[in-house]
Amino acid sequence: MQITLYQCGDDPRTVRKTLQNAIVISAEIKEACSTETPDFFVAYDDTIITGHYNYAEAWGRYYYIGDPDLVPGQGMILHGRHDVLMTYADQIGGCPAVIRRSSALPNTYLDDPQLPVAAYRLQQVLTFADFAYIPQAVIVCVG
Amino acid sequence: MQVQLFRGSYGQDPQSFTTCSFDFTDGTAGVDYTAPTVTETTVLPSGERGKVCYFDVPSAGMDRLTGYSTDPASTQNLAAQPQARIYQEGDTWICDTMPDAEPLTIGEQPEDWTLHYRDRYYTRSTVSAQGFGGSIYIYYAAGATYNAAAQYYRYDGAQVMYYTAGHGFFGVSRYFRTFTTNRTRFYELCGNLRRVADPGDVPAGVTDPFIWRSEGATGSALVPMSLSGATIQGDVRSDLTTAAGTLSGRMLQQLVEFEYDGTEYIGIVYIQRSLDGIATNASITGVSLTFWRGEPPRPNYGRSSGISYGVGTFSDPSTPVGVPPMQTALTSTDYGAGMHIRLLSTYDQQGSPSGLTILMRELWSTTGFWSIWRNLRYDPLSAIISLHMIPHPLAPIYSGSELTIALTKITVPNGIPGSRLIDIDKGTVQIPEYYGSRLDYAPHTQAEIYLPFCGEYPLDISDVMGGSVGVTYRIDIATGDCVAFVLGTDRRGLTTISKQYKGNCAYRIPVSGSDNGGAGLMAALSSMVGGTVGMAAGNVVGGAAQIIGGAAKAVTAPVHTTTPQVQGSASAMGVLTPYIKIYRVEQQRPEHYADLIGDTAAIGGSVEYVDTYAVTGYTVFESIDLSGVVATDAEKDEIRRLLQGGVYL
Repeated sequence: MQITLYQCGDDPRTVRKTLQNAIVISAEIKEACSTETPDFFVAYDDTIITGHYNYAEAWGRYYYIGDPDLVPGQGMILHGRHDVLMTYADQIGGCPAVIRRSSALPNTYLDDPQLPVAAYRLQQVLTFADFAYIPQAVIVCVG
Repeated sequence: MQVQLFRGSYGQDPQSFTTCSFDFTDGTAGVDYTAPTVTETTVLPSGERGKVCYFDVPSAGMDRLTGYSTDPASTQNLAAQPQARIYQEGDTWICDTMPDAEPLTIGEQPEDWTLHYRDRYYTRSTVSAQGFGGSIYIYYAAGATYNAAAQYYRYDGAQVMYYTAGHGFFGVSRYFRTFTTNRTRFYELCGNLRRVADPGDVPAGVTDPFIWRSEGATGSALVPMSLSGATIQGDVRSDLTTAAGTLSGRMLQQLVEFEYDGTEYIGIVYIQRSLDGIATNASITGVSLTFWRGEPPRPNYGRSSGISYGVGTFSDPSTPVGVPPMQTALTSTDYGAGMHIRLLSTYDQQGSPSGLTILMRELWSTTGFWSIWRNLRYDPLSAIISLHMIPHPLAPIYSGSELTIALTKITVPNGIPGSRLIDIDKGTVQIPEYYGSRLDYAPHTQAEIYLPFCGEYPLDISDVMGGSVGVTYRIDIATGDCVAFVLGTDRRGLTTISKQYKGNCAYRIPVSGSDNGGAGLMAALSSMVGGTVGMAAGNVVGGAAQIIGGAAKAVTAPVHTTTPQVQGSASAMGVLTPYIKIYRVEQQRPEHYADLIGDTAAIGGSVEYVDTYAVTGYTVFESIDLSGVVATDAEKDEIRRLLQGGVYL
């Protein structure tokens, strides 16, 4: 089978990752494994190690690639871990959702318990027109 | 690049608009009186050379990109802006309607919005050639009387920026209030979109001319917009829908659609048109221009889920309660039994004693037989119900030289007040938001109000934040009783009585001294009148010499015990300035907070980040329906867990 290796510098939490410098290599599955965490057996290649290839695409799915195991006899095992965000990015896009935190579309009037505030308080004083106290004497009398 | 202009009239089905077109590349094929011209050697605002396409917007048959004031109070004589232009600077396409319009940057606030908008009309949008995706959202305000304007936002894929559009009454302060007071609602309507900047403060006492309604209720108001071959019914206005269902004007009309390189970019220019019932040229023009790749986005993305929640009427008509009118029965200064209220001058002038001093002299005269006899015979002190000072000068409506007390006339200059009740307006203070966020409200921000003569009270900051507070005193000059009306104007502009506090502002002037050792004077008076002591009332001040020496000294004396008590006010010796004290916390928002933690949001809709970048950046999902995702249950659980933990879109 063919798998495509990429270099990926994005945060793992990025849904649509930017993949660079793709290389296509042959790989084999030699032992039973799941498609969630497959182990790809590939021929030893310096480029994979020195190039820090950390991402792979196989079966239309995307995988994080961890530190490869070097196998005697010029082989390498690439441990894959399924990136469900990238794999299903297009489908996720059409899903109804409710978002509660966003860096792009904030509603600053909602309460945010995570926002740090200082314990002390700042004062502001707004004054109205004062009573200049120009007194007016008033007598109330009967007469 | 073919640029197409559609021209039509207000109310006309835009599908039947006349199409005009021209070639942006060389300016040929310009047709119709839209008169597009392409100038190849134009010096762009950036100083670089490039092409600019100017096109006229005629005043007939199609709304112009202009407006003029219909407000007789306006000092604006808004010149027509009959021409728009489209040009490219670098990778950026720009459409604006004012050759010298200065760009604004998102988040940037001009130093003086009033001035800024008085002189500048902003209708500008930019988009980078690298930017793509996104919907167009439009703020609009319907002025039932005057005008309208659009403020539109295009959240970006890190490249595209939008600016407030509109002119005309942007230069009139009353218009600003609309943005201020309706800002929250704007956010709700427009899905909590990022705002460009805040408007200036709102002048007090301006009645809110803006009423909202469900746009869909207007029938013809829905303008189908043809976007790249697709038709979206009432797109932007679907975000402007409220459930209140009152009235509004229809504001948006598509004017221009043009394409660039066939399908890659599409721009739409919206013109903010007139109000219902107002001539088309009374409109404010708002123009926005957006570009995106691929299919048009869903403009109604991101509505606040709270808009349609509940089964209430979403109608909150109010009858504001202001300072009540004075009841005639309470304003009389003379009563049938002879009781009357008179004003006395307070301060002695050189060679001209005050009315107060003259009164005291007369009451406590130790010279002149008839004066002494009168005082002992008629006891005028017993007829004085109150002698006090109030903290506000009054102009009498009539001045006299005699005062009748206890059936005898005493020569004292005095005045008749116009009313027993007086109102004193202490003004209004604006309570602008400091943070422009929840931190401006309880419990993060708290306030109290100090009212001289009444005391200090907590003020619910949530009632008035973003609005204003006014204070008016109503004083009964006969007793000094006062009521302080606190009028709150909420952020929507509704002004009504918020609170009423009672107090007393009379500073008592003693006229006798029964509890001040008056026996000595009584004895003296007795010796003068020869055994008439028994006739003297007990209302005698011992320190008469001090009192008649000047009213200023007299006011320091204790209150006569037999005079009807009106609670004196220590406030007269304290702070005489009403004030509001606001206490607010200080936010310690760390850098990158929004990017790494995210700000609060309440957005509902489809994610649709793929084509539109409706939501970008760090995003935390509350919930998502993954029904359409063809994945295993375990994978869906994982997707949901990741999305709820926060992802970057």
